[in-house]
Amino acid sequence: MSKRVLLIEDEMNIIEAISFILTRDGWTVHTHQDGETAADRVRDLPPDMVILDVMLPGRSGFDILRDLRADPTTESLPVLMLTARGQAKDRDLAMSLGATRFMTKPFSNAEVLDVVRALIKD
Amino acid sequence: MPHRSLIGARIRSRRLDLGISQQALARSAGISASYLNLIEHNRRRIGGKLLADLARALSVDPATLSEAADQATISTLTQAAKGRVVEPPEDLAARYPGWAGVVAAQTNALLESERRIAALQERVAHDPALSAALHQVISTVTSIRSTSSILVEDAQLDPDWQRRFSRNVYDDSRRLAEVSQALVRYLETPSERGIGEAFSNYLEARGWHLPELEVESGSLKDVPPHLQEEAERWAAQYRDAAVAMPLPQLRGLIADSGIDPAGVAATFGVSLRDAMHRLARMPSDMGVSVGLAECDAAGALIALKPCDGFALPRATPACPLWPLYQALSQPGVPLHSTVVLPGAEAVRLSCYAIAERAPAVAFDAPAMVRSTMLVVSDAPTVRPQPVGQTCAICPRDSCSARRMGAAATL
Repeated sequence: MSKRVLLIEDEMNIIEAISFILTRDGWTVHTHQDGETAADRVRDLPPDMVILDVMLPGRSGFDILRDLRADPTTESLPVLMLTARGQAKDRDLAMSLGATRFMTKPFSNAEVLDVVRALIKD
Repeated sequence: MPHRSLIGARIRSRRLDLGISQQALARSAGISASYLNLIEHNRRRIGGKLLADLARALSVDPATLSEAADQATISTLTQAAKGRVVEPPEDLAARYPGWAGVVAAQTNALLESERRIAALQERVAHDPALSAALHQVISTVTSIRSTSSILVEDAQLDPDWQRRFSRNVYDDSRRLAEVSQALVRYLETPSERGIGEAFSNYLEARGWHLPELEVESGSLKDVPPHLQEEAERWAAQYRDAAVAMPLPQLRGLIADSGIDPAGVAATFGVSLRDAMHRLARMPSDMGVSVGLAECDAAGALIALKPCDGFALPRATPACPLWPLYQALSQPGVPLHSTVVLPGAEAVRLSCYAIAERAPAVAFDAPAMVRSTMLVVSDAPTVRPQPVGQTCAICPRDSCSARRMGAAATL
């Protein structure tokens, strides 16, 4: 059974592109667009890793990450954070909250694939 | 306009150029060396016979010593030094007035650029509309990059996926174009602060007194199109003040009593604030140098008209000891005090200030307080209150009002 990736992102076209390349690479991709219910979706699924956007409707990716790390069942879950804001303070906040990796938009498909392969392998 | 405190710097400069000791020059002028030292460092004002004696000893015309650069140049040179240990700016202005002007002009341009950068950074960081627009641009670019990579890199892409992704790129491109155009329009719209400062520059160039508005039906001349709205609002207030305090009667009152905002308010039955604004717009031929500053309850400058020896920084917080800000803690209480700036102790500024509530525009609207300060240069010799331009460059380390970083008080 292929590993599961949960993509939490509200931009439909980004969802389609990332889902396509991950699926083509052999991963099972689930998607979720709402920040308010994202943490619950993680617990219900559960995925082998999460790709989490910072700017989401309802709740920020930082708050969601904080919740995941506070929960023993998800505290070690690999999380790749995506953000359109490339300032050092955003990177520092993400890493301090427990993000496994941090990537700024726009990114290349190859970068995403490399990180997903590395995180799930680990 | 000339600034007399440079007499001391010019004496010192000329003495040094001639290789004369302080003791020798003092002896030839009939004064002590210690007194000459005070003069050279602008701690004593001189004129008349003593100025003539020193000029004779230095083989120059007294007028040469009293001709000087203006205080605005000195203030700008002080900011350029930024607390570094260098020769006093008065010395630079006295010995090399041309270069002092060049340095001052470049410093002003640099400060203006820094102000614009800070304003843009603040806008980017705290403007929710701008932040949302930039996020939308980045996200759309990300989508286009990912989708177009798939189209270009996958030669075997299923035709249905090709059509789907091509459509996505097309839609994202349109969205990006729309957001980009909206962003450009938004950034090109001058901020309120930008318009306020641009209009102040227009008034500065016109000398703040506008003869065409001294008549009831007058209108402002040569106003740039993007300042029309601000200009109309300002002109209406000017005309009302000119009607309430006609210029001929005001001239007579000033000739009799000097610059006295309380006297003007009482004579014409206007508020102290209106009297101060009217006095700040007097013609330059009246021989007085009058400045004005107005701020809101947060201390942000609403209006600023510099004068000899007086200017407040627009981009950085000013010294809290100015009566303009002291008045905020005593609304409704008129304040009058004489102040001196560091390095310009020979120039006394007479400051009149009052903080008042702006007229209410609605029943449940919050109370809006603004403080107005009139500054008259060359006040009579009284014990002055030391103030500064801004803490960042003020040499008064022991000042109890010195502003530290926000985190230092936590």
